[in-house]
Amino acid sequence: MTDVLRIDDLTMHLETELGTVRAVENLSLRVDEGEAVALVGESGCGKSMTALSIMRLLPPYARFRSGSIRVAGKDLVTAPERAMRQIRGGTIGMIFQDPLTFLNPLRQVGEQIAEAVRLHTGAGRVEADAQALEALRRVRIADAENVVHNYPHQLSGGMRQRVLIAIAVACRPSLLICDEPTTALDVTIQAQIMELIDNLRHELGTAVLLITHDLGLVAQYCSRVYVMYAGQVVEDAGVREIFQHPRHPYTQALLQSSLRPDRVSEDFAVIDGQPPQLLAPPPGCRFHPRCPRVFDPCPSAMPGLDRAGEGRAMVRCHLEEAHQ
Amino acid sequence: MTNALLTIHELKVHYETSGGLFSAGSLPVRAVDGVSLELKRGELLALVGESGCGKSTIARTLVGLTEPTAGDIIYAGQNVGNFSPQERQNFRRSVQMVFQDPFDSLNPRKTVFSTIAQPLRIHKIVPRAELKAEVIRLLNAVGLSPAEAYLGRYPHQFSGGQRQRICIARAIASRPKIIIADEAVSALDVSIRAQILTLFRKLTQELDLASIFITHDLSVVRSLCESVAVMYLGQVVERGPTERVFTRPQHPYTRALLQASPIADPDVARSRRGFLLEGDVPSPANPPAGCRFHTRCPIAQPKCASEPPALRSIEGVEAACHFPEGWRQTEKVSRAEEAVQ
Repeated sequence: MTDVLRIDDLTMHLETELGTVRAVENLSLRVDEGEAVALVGESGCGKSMTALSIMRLLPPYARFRSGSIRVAGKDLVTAPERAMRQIRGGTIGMIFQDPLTFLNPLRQVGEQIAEAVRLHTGAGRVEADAQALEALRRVRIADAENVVHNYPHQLSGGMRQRVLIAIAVACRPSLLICDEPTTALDVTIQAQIMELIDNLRHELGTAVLLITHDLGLVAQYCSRVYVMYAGQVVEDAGVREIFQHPRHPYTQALLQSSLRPDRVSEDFAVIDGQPPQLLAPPPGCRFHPRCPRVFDPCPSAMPGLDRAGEGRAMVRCHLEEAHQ
Repeated sequence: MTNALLTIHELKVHYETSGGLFSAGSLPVRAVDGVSLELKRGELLALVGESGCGKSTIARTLVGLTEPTAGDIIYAGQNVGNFSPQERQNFRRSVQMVFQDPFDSLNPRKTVFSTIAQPLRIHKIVPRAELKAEVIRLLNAVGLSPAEAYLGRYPHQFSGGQRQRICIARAIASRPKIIIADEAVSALDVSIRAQILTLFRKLTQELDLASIFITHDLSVVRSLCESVAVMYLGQVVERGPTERVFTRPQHPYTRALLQASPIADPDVARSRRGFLLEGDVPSPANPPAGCRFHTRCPIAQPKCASEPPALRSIEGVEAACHFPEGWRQTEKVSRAEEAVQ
């Protein structure tokens, strides 16, 4: 398997007026060809900042401090802006939570897809328009011939997300980054969109990086999982491994507080407190103030992300080191 | 009907859309179109459905933010429509609401103390001299301690979960009998959501509150509420005890909702067999004739397009479907297919 994305030891800080926000620290992540990988965590854990780092769509006060992001032989941390324009929408497609923000309200959706095609393939107008129609059909829009001429406000939320996906995959990217793609949608529409993304992954061989807070979507659609907490990856494992034998106390807590429609939880398994501010993260392990299994080294020493157990899971926890 | 604390009977709420500059007259939006519900003392009733099904409109009507077009609301045996101003004031004190967005539902220019003291003053719950002590008691009850330190703070100084606790403290301040929670945990992260649900469950038991819990998230309903009503396009399509509805759903829409709800277990999630609903929910300004779900229903028959089904008892629940047995047929077929393979 060759990787389409390989992030090694990435640290990205935001230099704000209030101080340094440690948004992403020592993050390593890999996505192989055609694979569906999840990056999960709660609000503010740095998962979206990771995605924006890959696309280099960061605010001007963002600074890469170390590490590399390798895509198609290039390091995106140092790539010139010209090269990034070919990567964005070409090699990597991206879809976001709120499609309306990313669609131009004044232009027909067909034009918006064709624009992406012309930009990345150099196709002529007629050819690009034909490909736009084809892209709408690919995302299962029934009357694509008419929808091509619609404006975004004429479409429902689910249809807009389909249009955004059509733009993202129009140039056959090798990686599709989906940042909370269904959070704003109703549950039956969410199911349609997730099925569509999964089908496109198989049809086009596009790898998917799914960024989400919803463990249910991860369980159903992804083969590997990275769990993020306070700017760091705390656990990296296969999907069955992580759901059956979660090792990091944070992963365990997340799973226990995830309610399920197919069974009754008597106890909502609360972890106290809230995630730390990344302006001044706690010393030592960042989870230690909330951890039910905190012990001697946790408040002072930062645990490394190390291999744990027989499988290929990687865990950032002193408990695992103690077991070795 | 006898032990019901609150009864909603054939409630209709239609919004007149004043057509824009370019539209010549338009149809009213039938947000709620003939809903009957019953809430018993101490009961936790879930109202579920997707955007635009009318669940929030019911909540707004119950607390008096929207006027009903038709139908009755009966509280403790009396029709709310016939209440005197004094009785109406009393009713409003008894039914309190917690909203989805704890950022929008708190006044940013008021301190925590004045936010929570306001209902205490309006409804004269405690003498003026005891206001501060009562606010502190309420803050402790919702798990915000040390309460004294929070009194003078403003909403922006709190996290989302803490703000939702402040909203809950304000809601229970007037000693209500009923709490209506409209997507009260939907904006929260899972670890915070678990904290708020734990608080909510504890308070409803301690204060003997009945509650209508409005949500789109079926996983919360399964663990929190004893009964559930499923809405589609302004109408209740299925209702009954949560366990029954979740394990033996009779309406195809309920089945579709359950099928589409994510399950955090790779083996269970991937072995589910069912169907995906196609298309979007039709407009409530122009709902389909007959059964409103027939345009998306995979087992619809010609009768469904012409005759609206009424709620009737089927297998321990009430469902509004002409052909609930249609499911058992298709299930038999798919089991037979499985056996062959």
